[in-house]
Amino acid sequence: MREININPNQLSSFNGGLHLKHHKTDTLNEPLAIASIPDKLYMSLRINRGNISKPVVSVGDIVLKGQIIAVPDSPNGSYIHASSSGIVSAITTKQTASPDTDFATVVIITTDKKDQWCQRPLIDNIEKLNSQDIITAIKNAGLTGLGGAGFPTHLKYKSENISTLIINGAECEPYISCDQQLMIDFPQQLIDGIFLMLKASGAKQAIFALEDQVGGIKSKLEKILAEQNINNISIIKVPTIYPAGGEKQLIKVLTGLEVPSGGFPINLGIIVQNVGTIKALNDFIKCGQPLIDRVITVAGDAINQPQNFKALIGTPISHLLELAKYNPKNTHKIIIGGPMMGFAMPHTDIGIDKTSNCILALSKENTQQPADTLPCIRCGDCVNVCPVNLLPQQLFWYIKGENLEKAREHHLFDCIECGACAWVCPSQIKLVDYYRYAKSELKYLDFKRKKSDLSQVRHNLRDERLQRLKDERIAKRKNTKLRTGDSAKIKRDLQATLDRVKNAKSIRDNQHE
Amino acid sequence: MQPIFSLLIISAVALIFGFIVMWVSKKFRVEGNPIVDQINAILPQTQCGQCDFPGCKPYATAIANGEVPINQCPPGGDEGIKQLAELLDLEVLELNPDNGDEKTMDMVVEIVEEDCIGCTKCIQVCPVDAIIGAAKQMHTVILDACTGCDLCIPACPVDCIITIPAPMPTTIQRLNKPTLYNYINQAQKL
Repeated sequence: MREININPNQLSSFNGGLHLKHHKTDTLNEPLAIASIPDKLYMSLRINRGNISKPVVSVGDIVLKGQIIAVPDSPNGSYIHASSSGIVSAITTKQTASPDTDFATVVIITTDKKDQWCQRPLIDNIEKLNSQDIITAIKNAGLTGLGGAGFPTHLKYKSENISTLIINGAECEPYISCDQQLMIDFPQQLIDGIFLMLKASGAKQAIFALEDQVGGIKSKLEKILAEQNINNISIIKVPTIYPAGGEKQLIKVLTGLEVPSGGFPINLGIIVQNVGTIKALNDFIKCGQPLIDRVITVAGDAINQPQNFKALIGTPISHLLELAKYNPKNTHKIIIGGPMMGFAMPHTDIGIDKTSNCILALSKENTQQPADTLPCIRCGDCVNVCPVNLLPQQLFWYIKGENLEKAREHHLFDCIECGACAWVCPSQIKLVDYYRYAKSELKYLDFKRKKSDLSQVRHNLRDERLQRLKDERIAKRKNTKLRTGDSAKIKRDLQATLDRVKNAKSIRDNQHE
Repeated sequence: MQPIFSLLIISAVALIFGFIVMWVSKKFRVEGNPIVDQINAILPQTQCGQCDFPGCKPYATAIANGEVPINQCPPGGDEGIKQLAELLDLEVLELNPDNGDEKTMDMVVEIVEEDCIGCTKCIQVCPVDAIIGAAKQMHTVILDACTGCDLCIPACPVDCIITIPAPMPTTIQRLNKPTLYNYINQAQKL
């Protein structure tokens, strides 16, 4: 196991990055609001890119708050719980708040507003829990990373060699302040949650990373740590550079180590967890509440009262927009996620999911007009800002020319889609769209390649089988021939039989007469 | 004397190397034509026979022997032709329309099970053994193994085989390629 020592005075840095306006103070001026229960909950069964859980309820069922409504059908899946009590009114395929607003199975619950809990799994001896118990609890709570990618949390705790737990409180995208709000309102729960995570992972130290633009949170947390005499959690402020909150970038800043290409932080013995995930684990262990709500920022210049909401998973976007008093006339674009990595929503009848950290409602003046894309002049500005040291202009070149394999060789799959390259591009090329297109196409081509390999194997096996059957037939015929090989004898036998038949016939004819 | 001596030495050396080359060519002999396998790896392995050959391997062999052009594989499409041209250092050709059109969407077949009479005719023609069933028993298609070659459709006496979009893992979502430069598109419209 690698020892990781971090010196807060000597932090490393990653290549490029952007200094962006924060736009966070508006939402943080207001206290955290509890969003009311909406009439309908749209529970998306899509967890992260791809994995869709299997529903275990059917239309007309009465569900209670916290009841499991979907189970994973692959190890990469996760449980999904009903956010509130009510009746399952439909299970359909609908657009979801996931990237690309993909279609996925959605369980629609018409709420009864009673918010009636199901039997909560209460744990008595929290002190006595061992690592495996906590990992099981993580799985049962349906925890996924609340930062963005939605990676099922329990999968991160498979390795034994974990030395460091990094708590990601660096929220680098403009407008989004849900994690900051969480740290202001629930510091004690976070510290308790970190203890549970440390126990689950077996890590010796935890590092709580914050951006240096946040005020007051560090001293608050340090006060709690000092009061309780805790010395294996250290709080470190990192420079506010977009995308310092990406887990690989955060690791680079804190430790100077780079996650290998195609690898995960676990390869370095590190686990990175979002603060929201930590709080959700604490909620499950202490109160038996699975992951059914999250803090979400509602902001943008078309919102009259920007605020952070504690909202149930599945709450429709329209409900939250109304609570934040948005101006429908002024709204030009509604985005889930931040302005850099978010996705425009086609309509507001979509429920938020576990990874939705922000709803942005932007007016026309504040939305980039897509009409002025110009050719690439290969200025190289994108290379200077790329936080993962790629060559964005070269990747664009290859993808434009449909040379996707070449793009793969240039480490397309290491792209974190942060959007920094597109942000600085003087020709306003939507570079990230190209990378996402190429990634999807390469995945598809890989799938087809695999399928064609399988077909070849099946075809060869079939050919072999047909050949074998043919050989067997020939062998059998040969065998028969061998047994009756003497042609003179066959002729004799045949003649004898014919004679016998003739005889019998003539005798019969005679008798008739 | 000297020229004869050097001639002898050179001949002896040549003889020795000749034996070495002979031995190496026997020891490391490659069975079959390796280029056939390379071509075969590019072909989509649908085994559909649209190229007028009874499968992908025979077509690959014919291409390797230079008997046929590389534009006779509709399932491989333009992408496949491009790859073949690159491998064989040939010119990129348009797909031959006589062999059929490239499908815009991946399709597989499905048996309408109420209508199936259990004649096993489709099982006999399926090149990848993707149909299971027995005489006078209902048949069904293994969707993940079906290549969409459509060979079973004409074989069915009761027309109970239909094409459906191929099932995809949920992790694969194809996106559209972004339009290149808006001003070019606008100029083309004007």
